[in-house]
Amino acid sequence: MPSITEGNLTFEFPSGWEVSKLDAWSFYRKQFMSIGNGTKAIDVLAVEPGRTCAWLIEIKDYRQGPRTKTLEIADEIAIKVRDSLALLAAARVNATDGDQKAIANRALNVRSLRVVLHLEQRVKPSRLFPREIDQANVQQKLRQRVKAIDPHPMVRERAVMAGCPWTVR
Amino acid sequence: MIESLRLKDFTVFKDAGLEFAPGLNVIVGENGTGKTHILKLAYSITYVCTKGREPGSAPTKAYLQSAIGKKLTSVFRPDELGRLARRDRRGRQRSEVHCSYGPPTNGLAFSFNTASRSEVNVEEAPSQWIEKLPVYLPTRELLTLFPGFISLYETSYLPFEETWRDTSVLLGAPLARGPREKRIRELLVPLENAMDGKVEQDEGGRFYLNSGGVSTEMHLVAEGFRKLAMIARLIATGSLIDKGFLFWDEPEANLNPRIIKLVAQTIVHLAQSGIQVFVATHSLFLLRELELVLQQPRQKRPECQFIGLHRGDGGVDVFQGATVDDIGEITALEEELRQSDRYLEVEAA
Repeated sequence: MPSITEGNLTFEFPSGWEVSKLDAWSFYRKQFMSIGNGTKAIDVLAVEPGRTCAWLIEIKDYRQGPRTKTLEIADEIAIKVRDSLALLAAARVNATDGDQKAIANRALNVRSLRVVLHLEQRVKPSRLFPREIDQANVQQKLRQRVKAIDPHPMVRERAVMAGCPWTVR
Repeated sequence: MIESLRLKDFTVFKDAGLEFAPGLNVIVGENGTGKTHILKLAYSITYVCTKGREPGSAPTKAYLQSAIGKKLTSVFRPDELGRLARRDRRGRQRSEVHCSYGPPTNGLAFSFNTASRSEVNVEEAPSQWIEKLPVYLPTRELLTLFPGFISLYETSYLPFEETWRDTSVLLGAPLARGPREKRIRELLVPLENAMDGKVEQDEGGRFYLNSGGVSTEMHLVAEGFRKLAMIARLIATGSLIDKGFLFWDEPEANLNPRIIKLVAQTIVHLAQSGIQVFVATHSLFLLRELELVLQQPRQKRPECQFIGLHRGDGGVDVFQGATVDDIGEITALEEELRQSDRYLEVEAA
């Protein structure tokens, strides 16, 4: 089963999926990153077999304490997703690494694009703030921002993985 | 149904075009962006165009010019009609309103200016009367004011909006009988379950909540239940059955989340049953409940329109569409996210 580890989290995908750390691609690091005033990339690209769906997954692990303002999370992800799609379009044509070129080609040859924010938080029960960052709020904000790419982006964590065909440890 | 409303220099609106769905219309905006103004305007003109106000098959321009002016003044309660025209630095301004009801009723267009005292100029009159009297629910419940309020309103000067009087009159209507009763029961049952009782009226006109044979005066019933009781009564009397219009200003006011959940269901049920519903809100909780009800499988989703009002340069801007994502920033959501940030900052300190 293909898997990807990011920090303390390991994502395991069903067999047949192609998964890749997009921000580790040599094409991104050496050629694409500096375009314009600099571009961003999401953490994980996962392509389902059979040209069905490409998943753009951003991972935020705030168990050691949050670093980003919640208000800005949706904006940050929207920019990363937009830049990642541009990266795939360029890599499909220009990447020198054959694997990167091939997966970019397959990622753009799908019937749907999905955006997922995997957000882990501290377990710190507070009466009025049972969740430091309310996932429904972030998801709704994210939906406003990426509607044209995915009208139903998801915010998920290990405890709530509905709709995600992979598992996270 | 009301298809659209076009406003030029009306209260806070410089130039706004609002499109409505036949089912549910949700107007979202901060305080002072004109949510209630839209409800009141659409209500007022629909009210004066309702069958039975005058003989004839359609309202005449002569009738409308004074009836609209009078109704707007009684509902909005400005010092004079002209105060409803938007003012800029030049002072004098002409306000234009065009409301489209679609065929066969067609449109109504009128204008007035800052100097107008009580009458409007009617440029276009509807081709026929509207069948059913619209219902306006203000933020406050009205059952406890009944029955004394109507006679007091009619006989003395009270600085209350006329919507209170109009809705009180509807609350006093006799219970509907006949073929509509089955549909009425369907809509009433969930409300009666939530209130754990039925709304009753004694011979003197006072309202009670009857729970298992024990009657409680409406004054002693929780305010949230009184609002549900008001809706229940309007359904039972046939005002909110079949065709018609419901304008509900801040349904969430004075309600706890458990009841807001039920209110959202009721709103969608009414829209499904053929009422054109207009709701003004700034409650994120209510918006989400509406969305949850609308997304339930196996039920007929009413056509919806979401309208966001935003303060812009020199007036209020309108963002609208079929989903809640089409209305621009939602202040309540932004504030929740900011609150989360503030909490994180406090925690980190």
